[in-house]
Amino acid sequence: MSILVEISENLQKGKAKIVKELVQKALDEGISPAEILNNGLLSGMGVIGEKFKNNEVFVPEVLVAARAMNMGAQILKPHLADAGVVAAGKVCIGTVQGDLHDIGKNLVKMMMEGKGLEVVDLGTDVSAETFVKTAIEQNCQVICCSALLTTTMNVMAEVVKAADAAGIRDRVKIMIGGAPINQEFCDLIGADCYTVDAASAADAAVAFCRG
Amino acid sequence: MDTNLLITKAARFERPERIPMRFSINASCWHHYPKDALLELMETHPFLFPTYKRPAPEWKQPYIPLAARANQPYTDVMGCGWHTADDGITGTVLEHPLSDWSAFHTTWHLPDPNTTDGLYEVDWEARERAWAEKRAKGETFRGSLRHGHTFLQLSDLRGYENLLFDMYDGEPLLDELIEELTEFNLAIVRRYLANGCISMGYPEDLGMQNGPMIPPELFRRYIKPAYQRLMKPAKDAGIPLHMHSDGDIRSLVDDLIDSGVEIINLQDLVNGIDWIAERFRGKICVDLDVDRQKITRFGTPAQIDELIREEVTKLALPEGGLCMIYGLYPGVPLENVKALMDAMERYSLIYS
Repeated sequence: MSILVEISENLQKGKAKIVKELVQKALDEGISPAEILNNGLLSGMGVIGEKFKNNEVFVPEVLVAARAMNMGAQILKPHLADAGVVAAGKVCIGTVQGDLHDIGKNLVKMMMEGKGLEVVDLGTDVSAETFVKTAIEQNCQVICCSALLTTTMNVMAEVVKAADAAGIRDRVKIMIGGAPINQEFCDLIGADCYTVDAASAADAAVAFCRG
Repeated sequence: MDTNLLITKAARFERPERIPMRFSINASCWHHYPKDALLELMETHPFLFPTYKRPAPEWKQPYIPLAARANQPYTDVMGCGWHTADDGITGTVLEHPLSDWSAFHTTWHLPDPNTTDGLYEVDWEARERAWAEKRAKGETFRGSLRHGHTFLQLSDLRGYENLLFDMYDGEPLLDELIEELTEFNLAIVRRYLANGCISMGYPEDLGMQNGPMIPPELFRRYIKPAYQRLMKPAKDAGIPLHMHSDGDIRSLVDDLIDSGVEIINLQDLVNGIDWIAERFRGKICVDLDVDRQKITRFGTPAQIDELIREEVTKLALPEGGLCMIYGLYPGVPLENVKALMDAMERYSLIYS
């Protein structure tokens, strides 16, 4: 079995320590950082993402796989910078104002990082103004809003309005998600995209970033 | 007949006079809805609010627990820091006292179960006097651990992701913490039983919107043994054991039943009405948590009536086996609230 396949398979099992060791070993063997990233770490997260979409694995398995990916990526990061490897795009993400739940938001963040995106995590209880200001200041191509509560989902409409007012809709897409959200609500408030799960959100964000 | 006894009859398939239905109005509703409209609804639905009498002359805001107060973060007796953005909506723990294991047994210790329920300080002696008064009047009471007594408590202490990683990594300190926490909870279970509760509740949240919060194999390794110890005294006392969990718990249900659960409170649409019917109808009493994400929030009154009718016809038997509960939170249109209350009262009598 190739070392890249080993990295991918151990990542899928959440074996963080082994992934970290294997990434270092692959570097020592002279495999390029980009190849380790794409064919080892991101490949493993891609498999987990597909399994998540198909209900073959659930949130805990994704979290533990993402931890393994992050530990491998820590080893890889300085080498990637040296090799001039750039992120697939940049997004900012947060749970909307009034809502302090973050498991779903964190899951989407991890899936997006697993697709090679750079993610600015704004945390929870994020105002519409903060989403828009961050997108402008940090050149994000996508704003991702999460809400768990039916009482806070309407804040997403404020994010859309604030982005309209700032005149950034032509270059920044707005994605929404969370338990009470559906396509009808997305259409109603004029957001650009709703996805049913975290893995699909990551796919959609990559597509937006590629233009 | 009081609701507690109706629930016990439903749990034991002893032909309750009607299907027990409860309707809980979250304290946040009182500042999101016109209060007269809510009071009117309560007054006109006596099955759902059997002891309700319209207050006069002045209405008072219901008590808001410390962990549900906006802009007033609350540090509970375990050291967990609760925050919420809306008065009445139970907060989320953002400060986890054992996020670093170095605090365990050094700066952090479990509180004394004689002075607390794990979330708030409690005057147990005063409670015991109140229970004695109830017993003297022929009234009943249900015992219950706090919501989130074991799995959620561990999550609140360590943080959810840390807890999962502990489990995957086989962190030995986690076993010690679970042992101590179980002893703490057992002391509270024993107190309720010693005072004659007619059922014992073990509320947690174990499910996500899709799938469990904890993989079944880790549940069996870490949580199920604690549940079995906590449930055994109530089983031995011969009273019904009630278990609540939000979320999709389909992959955990067998282990919950195996632990001793006799009444399972789970969400209808998240787990699926047909799946619930197939697994439990006529076998285990379902305390159905009626949808608050989709149909009651966004549907029509007719769709709500149809939902309740479907649930009652698919899950209940004349012998029992079904209770239902709805938790009202802001955002549900008032006409839908009325439709839901009407439907719950109407279909509670389907076998009467």
